Amino acid sequence: MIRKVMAGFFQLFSITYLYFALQLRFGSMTEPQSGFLPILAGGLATLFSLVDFISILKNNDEQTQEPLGLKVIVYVMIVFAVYIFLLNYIPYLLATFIALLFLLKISNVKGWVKPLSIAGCSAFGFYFVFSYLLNVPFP
Amino acid sequence: MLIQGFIACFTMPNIIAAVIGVTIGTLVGVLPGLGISGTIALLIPISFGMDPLTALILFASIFYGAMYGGSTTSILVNVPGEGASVVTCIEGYEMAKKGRAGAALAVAAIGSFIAGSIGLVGLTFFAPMLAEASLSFGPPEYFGISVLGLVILSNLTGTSHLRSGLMVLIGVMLGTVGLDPLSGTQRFTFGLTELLRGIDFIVLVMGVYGLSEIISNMGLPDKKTETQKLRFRELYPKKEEIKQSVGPIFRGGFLGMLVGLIPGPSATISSFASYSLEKKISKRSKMWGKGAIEGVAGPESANNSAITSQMIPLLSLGIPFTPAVALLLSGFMIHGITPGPTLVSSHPTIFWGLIASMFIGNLFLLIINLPFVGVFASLLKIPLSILMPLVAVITFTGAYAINNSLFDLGLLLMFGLLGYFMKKANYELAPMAIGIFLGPFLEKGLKQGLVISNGSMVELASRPITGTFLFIATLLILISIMRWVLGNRNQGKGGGVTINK
Repeated sequence: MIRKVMAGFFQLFSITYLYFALQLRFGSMTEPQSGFLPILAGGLATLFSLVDFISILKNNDEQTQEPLGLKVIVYVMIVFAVYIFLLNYIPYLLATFIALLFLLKISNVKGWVKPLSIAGCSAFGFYFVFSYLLNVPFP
Repeated sequence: MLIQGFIACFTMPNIIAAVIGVTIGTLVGVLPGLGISGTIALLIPISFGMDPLTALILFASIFYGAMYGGSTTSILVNVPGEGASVVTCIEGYEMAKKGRAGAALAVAAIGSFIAGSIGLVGLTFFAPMLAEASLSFGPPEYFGISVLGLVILSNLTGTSHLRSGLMVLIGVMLGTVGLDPLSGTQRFTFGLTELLRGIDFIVLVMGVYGLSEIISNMGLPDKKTETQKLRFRELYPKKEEIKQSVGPIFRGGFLGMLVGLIPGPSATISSFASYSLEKKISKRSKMWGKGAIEGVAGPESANNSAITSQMIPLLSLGIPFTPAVALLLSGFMIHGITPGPTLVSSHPTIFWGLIASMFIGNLFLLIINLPFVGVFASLLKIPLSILMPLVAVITFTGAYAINNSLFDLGLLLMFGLLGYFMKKANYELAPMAIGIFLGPFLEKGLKQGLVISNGSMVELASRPITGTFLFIATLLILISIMRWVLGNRNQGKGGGVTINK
């Protein structure tokens, strides 16, 4: 199933890319313009992805794979997205603490004392290292 | 010249950088998660304040450290830390079960040192020669090399040439986002000013390699890692073991040096090639699969030598053929250094200093890692449920530090998710990563080449070097197509041949 989805994704991506590439100027062989390589690459990718997609549909040989664990992935992605959002509005230290706490709970770290202390110490440690030692200017 | 390089390296900051690099690299190699590419990507922004040579010494040391770290887990835990350490699991873990883990680790370290030195000798002699020869290269030649490199990469990576070729094209397509390097036209920016500078290669690598690995490991139940016990006094191999290792080490060193020049996962290829070679010529055939030390010495030596050899095209031509080396190139450029034919003449201290630093990094690997191997191995006891969230935050912070851009974090997230599903669906990541990096080189070479040849591909291909590269690339593509067509026909006739390799 996942192979079909990814093959379909790359097919869609290639077609979309080619559509936008065709809006650029191709130029000529003596004077290639900004659309020259994009149109060539997009065209080839559309062809390759179509062949790949068809071959996957024909073969239908889904190899046994470990489960995707979609539930965990969704939770993790939500935490990451919220983390990025929070960095716009609250200090790095606090945003990182919150993100770590949630990630540790998603990873099944039991209880609250351990996750809170790990999140707190780590957030502070990262802030110290990146902000003071490495002079990274946080938002 | 090399002596000047050693003199430049032997300053306290550079020695400290080598020690830190080797330690971090070993940590990275031992622990699941980031990998070499992800770690170097993370450290590049952090190196901004450093002296260029110091930063490069740090990155080069990480390479060696990560290779050795990968072999530590292979031998002690039967889990390869890196692709190039997969084959070490076969004999190394068997040796560990017999109480010879120390000997295996010592031989891996010594072999890596000797073979790495062989690779460095090759680098010392071939890189300047190749740089000298490539001074006459023009845009058509760089176009030819880029095309050949990408075709070979797609042929050697993964189980399907078609799929790997598609990934190369996807990478090239992603590399066109931003401003056209020649005309300055905006391409695929959709009005977003953040996309004017294109998609940052480092962010892409951190996403598809680093974040995807973190996503994979999160939510997995914590496995109790059974590590073979190791005592300090057991670190010394027996006389017999040393005697059996000498040949494989030198053979692995030379094999790795040659294979390292091939675009693609040459470290992994060289380790497998060395294992096959040693098994074939071994006089102790009954020992193979049961702890033959040659099966550790040869592959570990080969992969270290290959890693060094990968630097030859980077330093002499300025072209990387693996994601990790491409990141090294990014590091060079961030510090104002452009590797290529003129590096030797314009920055001789940097060039020879880097080569000298690899000798030093190799030496520190031996001095530091061997006595502390038990410490590194104990890190495997840290539960993934704690480690992965920490690595995730480090990855995000590092990605932010590159351009101080929250937009990059969005890209990181997107590529992380993409990398995760690509791995699940058996699509290779390296071709896409190299495609996005080499795409602009390829485009510039092609456009300028066509202008030079008045739009004639025939005239372009008639240049000896360009023609040779394009001929070989075409041949490889035709062979792939023929194999696919024949595979399809056999399948149609009810044969057992599948479309994919």
